Amino acid sequence: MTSTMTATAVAVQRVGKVYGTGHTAVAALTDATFTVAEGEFVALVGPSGSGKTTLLSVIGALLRPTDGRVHVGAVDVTALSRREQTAFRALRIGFVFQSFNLVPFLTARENLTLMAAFAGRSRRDAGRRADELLDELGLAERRHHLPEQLSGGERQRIAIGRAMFNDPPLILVDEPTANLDTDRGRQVVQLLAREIKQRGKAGIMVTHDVRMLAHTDRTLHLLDGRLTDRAPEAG
Amino acid sequence: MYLAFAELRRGRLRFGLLAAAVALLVFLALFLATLGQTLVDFETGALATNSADVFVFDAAAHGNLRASRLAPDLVGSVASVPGVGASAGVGQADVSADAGDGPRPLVLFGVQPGQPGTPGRLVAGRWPGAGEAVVDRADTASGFTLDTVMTVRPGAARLRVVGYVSGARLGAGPTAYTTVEQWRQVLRAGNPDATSIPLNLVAVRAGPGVSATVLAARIGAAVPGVAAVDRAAAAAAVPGVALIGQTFALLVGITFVVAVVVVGFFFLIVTVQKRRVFLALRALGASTALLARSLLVQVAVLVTIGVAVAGGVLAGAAATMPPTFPIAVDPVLVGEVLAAMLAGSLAASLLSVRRIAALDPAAGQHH
Amino acid sequence: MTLALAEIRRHPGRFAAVTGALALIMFLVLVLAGLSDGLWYGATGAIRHTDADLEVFSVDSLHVLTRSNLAGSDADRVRAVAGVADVGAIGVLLAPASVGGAVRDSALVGYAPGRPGSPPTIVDGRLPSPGEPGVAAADATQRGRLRLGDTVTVEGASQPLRIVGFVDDARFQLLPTLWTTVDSWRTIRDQVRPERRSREATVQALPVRLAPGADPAQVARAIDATLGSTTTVPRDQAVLAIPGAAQMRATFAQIIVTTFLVAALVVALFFALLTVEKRTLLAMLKALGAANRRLAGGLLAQALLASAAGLVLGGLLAVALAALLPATFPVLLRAPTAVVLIVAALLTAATGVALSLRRVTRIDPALALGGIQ
Repeated sequence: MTSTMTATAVAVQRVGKVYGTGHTAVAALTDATFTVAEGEFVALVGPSGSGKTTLLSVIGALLRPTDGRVHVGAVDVTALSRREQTAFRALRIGFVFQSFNLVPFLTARENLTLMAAFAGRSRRDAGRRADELLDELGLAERRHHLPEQLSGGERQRIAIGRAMFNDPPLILVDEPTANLDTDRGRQVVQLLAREIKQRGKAGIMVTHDVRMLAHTDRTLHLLDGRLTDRAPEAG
Repeated sequence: MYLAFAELRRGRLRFGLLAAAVALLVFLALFLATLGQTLVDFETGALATNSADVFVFDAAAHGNLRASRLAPDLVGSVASVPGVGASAGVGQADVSADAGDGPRPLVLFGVQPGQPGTPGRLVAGRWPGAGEAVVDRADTASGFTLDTVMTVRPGAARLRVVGYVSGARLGAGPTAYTTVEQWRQVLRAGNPDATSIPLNLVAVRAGPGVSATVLAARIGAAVPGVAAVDRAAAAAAVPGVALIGQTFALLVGITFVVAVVVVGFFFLIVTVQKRRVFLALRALGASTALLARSLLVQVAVLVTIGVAVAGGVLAGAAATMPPTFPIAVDPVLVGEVLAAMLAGSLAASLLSVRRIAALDPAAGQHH
Repeated sequence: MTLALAEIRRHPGRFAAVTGALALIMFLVLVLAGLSDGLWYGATGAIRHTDADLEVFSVDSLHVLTRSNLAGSDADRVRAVAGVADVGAIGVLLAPASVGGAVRDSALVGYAPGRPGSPPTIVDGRLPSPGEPGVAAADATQRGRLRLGDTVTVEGASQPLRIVGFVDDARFQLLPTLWTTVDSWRTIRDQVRPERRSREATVQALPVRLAPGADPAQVARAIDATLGSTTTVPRDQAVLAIPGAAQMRATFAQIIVTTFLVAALVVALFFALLTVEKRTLLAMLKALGAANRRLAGGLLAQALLASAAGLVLGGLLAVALAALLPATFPVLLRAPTAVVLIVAALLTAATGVALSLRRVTRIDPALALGGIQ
């Protein structure tokens, strides 16, 4: 399977976000513009409060920006209604959160098939797809375990499987290594990078861990809500 | 303490809902208890607050005043029993009375003023003579007020209200007391063919130094065909009263258990939810005793608020009761319910305290 | 839905609390309703459960059977009124009666067999025949205490009554009730109530059956105009005039409504707690694309399921209690009442959870990013 590296998966154009109004207004994000191509894995780094989470939320159709546009594929996510946003997230965006990210009372397999329900897909196909993914992720024998019976690394792998489940073109990752030791964290990011490349997704990962940048294609730096022009450090 | 109150303030919705649920449940318990007690009082007042110490029934009546028929000359036989201080015949009839706004059911007693058998509490006016009656104070709402003249049927005897008695109802409805002669006339008007009008009871006051129970036994042994019981026993034997008491006790009991269980469950859930916080506090050096005390204070505060609100709601409910069936908030009952609720709820929260005590502070460091 | 059910299956403890609380509340509601029904049916059966359309009382009676007094011969004058198909007779005596030495307060109802006012539902044996002396049918609640052929003696009466049958829903004022001919009744009444003896045979009320198509109000007016000393009302109105019955029912209805309010609060309380606890999880599910409708629907399903389990438990408790209570407790569990209460309870649970539904829709999915705890 080959994928063209040229097609644009995500286009962020002059996005700004201001919280509050008048004297109390705070600009969390100003004039952010960049694109991510299919098959490209981009890291988003910056100190705490730099606007990483805000930017990821806007791209993920979780937050409406004050200015600018975000296109995921051909869809302008900033123009969607709340309900459309919800459906869009279920079908077109895969999320990997930083912690407590699995439904604690669902088994590994159920955590995956849940996504079929959100996307309005049939249950039988969902089971087959979940088994495939769990197999690929090396978790076949853990499929009926509850999250509390799994290690932190296993939980993150399940979360990656869940993000891939509905085959979305865009994967958004929020501090995936926050609760993992260095080795496990590296394994998880490697897996993410591999999955994103193989499947021709676009990936954006917020991280504070510079060691993880080695596994990404490009790094975007945020400072005080602005993308800065620092040269990529790796790759 | 600081911890307990700060949490109550922050969790207004959940603690407010709990306080409301407790208040309603306690209100139900209070209302049922008050209603039951009021019903019993209204059913039995005519006997329970009577001026007599002992009542003599027809043995065949088995304590049912309405079924009791005694020949008038029996009063003399009772009077001659040693230890009887005073005795008098009492008659009862279910009639209707019209005080100007239509006929209402009325329980009419025939008594002899100054003799046993009259109600124990005359709270206004004076005892009746011929053509007069006293009514229960609760019946003023039915139009039977001082100086009104009521027309009693059967017959058309006109009786002027000359006084109020209190707590002297029979059968939870308007109750009036007139002279035995007047009562006999009403019954005769109902059936002109009657050859004799029997009495229902002989009311007896014990002589000096004679106890009511001893005197009752003595009368029962000396006079054939009668059953004599003391005042409390006569009141307890009124048909249906025992059942009313048991039924309401059962309902109050169930309501009470529901209230305690709801409080217990609530704090158990809250405690389980706060496991992390408790662990952190334990790791910071808070003792089990401090955390347990904080929990018990919350329970006590909520239950007290709940009971206070319930008392208020009961007062409101009492105001909406029909005036012919007045219920009164009994502060002693509210106090008892508060004490019982506190005891029950604190006991139920011991489950939660056990959970707190079982926490291992070392585990707090992992979070 | 899978989500909601999986949560109940894997964390049953949390839902057990609300189920347990609701079970107890439902138990209370059912006992209250059982008592309300028991009091109502037990107090009114002798008048309510008959084939009479109208009841004729004496004018001062306030439509209360025990206060009413009519001449037996009035029946013939009522029968002559246009629109009247048939007339019965009824009298009641409240007095202690003994069976094999055991005495209980009882109601002796005199009636005219085969005429209006007869108890319609025979569950065993037969009814007294017209004019048959010395026999009675007992209301069916006495079946444990009486058998066919037993004799019952009203205290003070010279002749006993032999039980020839049992009739259902035929009690008067919650008392064990015996149905005998109006002549037998009068004989016993005159023995134990000497002041009621009179030259003319009396009864207390006259149950009337209307001719087909007759207007009840018009016939009632015609009867009262003809006799001059009566007040005639439809049977339902006579039932409502039974002392205490209607008031008791209204009071219990209020208590039951209050209890439902408690149930709503308890459901609201527990689901508010659970929702607060799951805020993070719900935000994440929303970020993953779960629609509000799905999450709210799941919560509603959980509330209904937990409540339904509580209802079943509470119902079983109530049935157990009703079986354990001594027969003197007037608790009557009726299927139609239970159905109404169950529907009301489920609606109550749905109302109770509504508060939490709103909270769920308000949770911001953006909370799922940025490492919230």
